[in-house]
Amino acid sequence: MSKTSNLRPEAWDVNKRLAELALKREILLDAVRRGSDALANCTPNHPISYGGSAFWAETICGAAELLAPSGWRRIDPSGQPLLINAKGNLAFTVSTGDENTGKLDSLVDPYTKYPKGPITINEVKANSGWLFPELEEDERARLECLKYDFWILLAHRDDVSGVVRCEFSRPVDMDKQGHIRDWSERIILGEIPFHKGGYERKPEDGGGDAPQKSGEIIVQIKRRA
Amino acid sequence: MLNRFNKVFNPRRFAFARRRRGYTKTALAQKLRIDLRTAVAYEAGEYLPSEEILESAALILKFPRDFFCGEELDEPSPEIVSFRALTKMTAKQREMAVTQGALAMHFAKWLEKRFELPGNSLPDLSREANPEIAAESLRQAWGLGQLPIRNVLHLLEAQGVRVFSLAIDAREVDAFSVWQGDVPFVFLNGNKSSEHSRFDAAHELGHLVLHKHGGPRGRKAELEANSFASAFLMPRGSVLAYPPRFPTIQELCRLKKVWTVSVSALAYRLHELRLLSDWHYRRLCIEMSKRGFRHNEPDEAPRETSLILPQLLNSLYQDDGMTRSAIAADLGISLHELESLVFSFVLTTIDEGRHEDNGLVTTSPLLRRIK
Repeated sequence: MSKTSNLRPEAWDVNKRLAELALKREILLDAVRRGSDALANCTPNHPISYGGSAFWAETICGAAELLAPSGWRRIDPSGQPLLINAKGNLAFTVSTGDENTGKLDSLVDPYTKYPKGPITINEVKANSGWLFPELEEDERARLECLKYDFWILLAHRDDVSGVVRCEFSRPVDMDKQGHIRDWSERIILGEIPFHKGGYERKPEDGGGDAPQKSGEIIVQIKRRA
Repeated sequence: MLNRFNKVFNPRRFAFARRRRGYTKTALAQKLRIDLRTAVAYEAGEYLPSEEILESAALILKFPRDFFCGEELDEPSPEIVSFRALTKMTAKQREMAVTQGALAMHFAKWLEKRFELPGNSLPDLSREANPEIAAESLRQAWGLGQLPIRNVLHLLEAQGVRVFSLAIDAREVDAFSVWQGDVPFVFLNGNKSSEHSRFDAAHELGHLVLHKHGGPRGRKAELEANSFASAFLMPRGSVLAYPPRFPTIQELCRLKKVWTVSVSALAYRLHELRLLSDWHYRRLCIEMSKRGFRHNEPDEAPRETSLILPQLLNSLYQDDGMTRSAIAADLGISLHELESLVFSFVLTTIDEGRHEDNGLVTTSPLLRRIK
């Protein structure tokens, strides 16, 4: 797919647009940090798929806790975890994106890493204003998701550069397998280092410095005026 | 008290320089060919040394002559400094270490005036009775979870600890740490293996967070700092995920690379977590002693270098044209003294208008130019 024309990479524009949505960039990134911290607590003794689940679950929980003072609520319509604003007209969930997530120089928009279930499919189609005959028997669910605009906090962990790239985007289409691939608006939140000094290391990695950047620390120091 | 250049002679600076070089008053008097009573009187501020004596003292003590004329330097109080092997240290070694600490603080203050350095983010864990839990708490606070630490030196610097090199060629002086107001300092002996140096840094971090307000001293405090360092570098969950397949030195050499620790530190931790039986641990200790692993680490990891100091020195050179000699002169110390504070951690040297690389390491690509 081609890139969305409604891409917001500039900090001033990101902050302005998020303010219109009653959100703040730092809060969304802090929620992702909580997910990253949860991932750092996983060891090889945990089931291999648990790290991704822990990251996802703690990011949702973090967003709920950080946004609660602003009137946002956690709801689970039909088992899908959502954050919904005080007016009830905007909701978002957290999802893992592919390597194009949060990237400005990519020629294509990001995909969600995993295919989505029927609730998300409903929400995406409601966003696009389409009607879906095959879903009309589930009238209640369809009407429910028409009440709010649906967004996704999309995060991608880049092991090579040691960061999690994030964006807050409004989905409007998906492929046949259910991966979201098209967005009407993408607000680029930027990246956070994951693990902040720690890195994944196995005995078979051997000695020497790790090739990946995970756990490398960057300190920006300014001159005093 | 003025000398012929109208600079105020500071007797305390004179005494400081003597202590820094590990001279007794008697030894310095002999070197200067003066009697002891005169040397004592200089330090008491009763007599003003002649210009010739000052010149000789500067040569012997390896300080610029004007060093004796500066303001009094803040010194870490010996009571609040955490020395790891205090009982094994001589008074001379303690004096040399404390005075080097004072010069590092002098340098740090000089840098603080020019740069916004990372602020201290060390929590006060002095109420936590269990060092293992304190280490776990700090890991959670810093988002490290159960992960091995990539670079302990960088981590400490990023969390606001000022890390300097300890240039004392004595095994008894491993490392020490001290709080100066709200700024934590750690001094590390550069003559040790990377693995031992990382453990020393974690040990000193333990003192800084566990014993900020004094607390236990001596052996108890050292054992607590050791337990903290062990748990901080080798978190329980992470170690339990890689139990040794066989209780052999070869297996420990393979596993130690996960956490970049020494074989002996790993053996201790494995035994503590009951992944090694008492019998196996004893056998491994005997084997490590036989092979000399206590002092010569096998298959040593690359040495950690400073994240911040090269940035600062590069910025001073590129933006202000300040070489290390110029910085040392501004601080009123010798270039050698300045180098001794940073030598272990800064491998790219800039001096006298030349930019040298000693060929050991390249500058990290993540070092960014200071704005």
